Amino acid sequence: MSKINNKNTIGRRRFIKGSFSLAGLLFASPLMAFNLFDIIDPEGKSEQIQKAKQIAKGAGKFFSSSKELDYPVEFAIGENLALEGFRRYGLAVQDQKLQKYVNLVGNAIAMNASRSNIPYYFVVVDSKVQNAFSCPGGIIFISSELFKLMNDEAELAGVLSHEIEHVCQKHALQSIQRARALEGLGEIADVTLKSKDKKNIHQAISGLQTILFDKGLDKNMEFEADRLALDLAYRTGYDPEGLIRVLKKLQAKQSHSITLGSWFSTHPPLNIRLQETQSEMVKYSDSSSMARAQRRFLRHKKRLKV
Amino acid sequence: MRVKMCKNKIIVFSLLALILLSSASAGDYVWVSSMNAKLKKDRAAASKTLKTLPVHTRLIVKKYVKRWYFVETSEGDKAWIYRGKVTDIPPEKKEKKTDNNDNIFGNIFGDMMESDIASDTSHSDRSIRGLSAENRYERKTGMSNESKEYARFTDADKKYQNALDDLLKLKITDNELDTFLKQGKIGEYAE
Repeated sequence: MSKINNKNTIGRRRFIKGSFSLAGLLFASPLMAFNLFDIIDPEGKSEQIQKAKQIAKGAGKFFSSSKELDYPVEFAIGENLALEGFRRYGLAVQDQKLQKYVNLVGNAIAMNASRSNIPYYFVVVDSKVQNAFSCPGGIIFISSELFKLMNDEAELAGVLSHEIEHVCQKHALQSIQRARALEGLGEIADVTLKSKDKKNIHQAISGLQTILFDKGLDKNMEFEADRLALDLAYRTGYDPEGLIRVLKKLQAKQSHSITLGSWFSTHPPLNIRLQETQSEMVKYSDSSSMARAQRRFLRHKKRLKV
Repeated sequence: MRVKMCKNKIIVFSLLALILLSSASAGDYVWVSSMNAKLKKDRAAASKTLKTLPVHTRLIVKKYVKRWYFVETSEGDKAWIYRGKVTDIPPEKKEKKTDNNDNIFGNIFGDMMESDIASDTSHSDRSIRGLSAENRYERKTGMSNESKEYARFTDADKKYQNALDDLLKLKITDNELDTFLKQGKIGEYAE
């Protein structure tokens, strides 16, 4: 039994080594490697070679994938994730004025974002978990608990800017495309919701749910979203330090907050995020003179039941 | 011999001067990076709007005073624009689409070898790039049919569908945004 296991392990190791060597070849010399898979396995009989070919194909698509996914498909994926967002985090707070206010802050910022050509939708959901997240295509959630933690509009602008940047940089889509490429699965850009291949799109949505709500995005994507959020809030006219103040408050609350499905569990450690964002602040020497709009914010915060 | 050395020095200095001059002039441009970027007659949001510029419009910077650029357009119009509406990073040349999915290596290396990257997906520092106003997508008026179909397929509760439908029906106009920024003294309305 152990011999068989050993054989399997060795076989797996060889396969992994082989795949890495092939990948190395692909990157080193594309022309030479172009038909390498066909030379090694011309009849396509070897399952392993075919799998390696599929992985390489998936990886290839990943590099150009996020731009190939057209906006309507991206948005439809986002809509379906939003349904799951409502299910997990609760329904929208029933206050039209509050919802309108958050949408005005969010859209004022989004107007200056790198994807200002798409519409953005913001919603405050009734949730005890401190969290905010964005669905591909521009639907952005913020929990009432996180909203209550804030003290001025610049802080709200900082959090919303962070989420807007995830949409602009297509971070969630990149994550799922990368995961699918590594698994040797198909490209989600190839299908539309109207097509018969619904299994593919459902797999993508289910994978995205895990990334957005459970695991969180890659930490470098989070750092990038933080860095770009400072700049976006600043260019809109808000004090970029707002985001840093929220991170500090979250850090102070960390020990006695619900962590499952929160910004604590789906984002990198707060001390590192703070370190990274604070080092960026040298770029914004006049930040203290930028808008905070505290009175307006507090007026709307009062609308939330404490 | 001396004359030759002198000539060489002149050539080297001329080249250096050329490089310096060209880099200086490159820094004198800014590009519109925001929707609804207005050219103002004076350095104030309340001042008369002369023109609303599309994203990516290149402007020549004449001077910079307290968060406002005094710029000149390619048509020769001279006016003020708020700094948050522009960037000093030039936009990418044009949008490029790769449709050849069969060529796996083309996909891997194609993008690395060409500089024409889709403008809204590039990942450069600050990433202040946008598409032109012509490509603007309209706000939705409710949940899409595809998503309704998906919701039926996955048996999503009606209350979540209604929540999403309500969210997508929410209207925000450019005028409302303008008034909101004005009331909060945000950005160009700060002074």
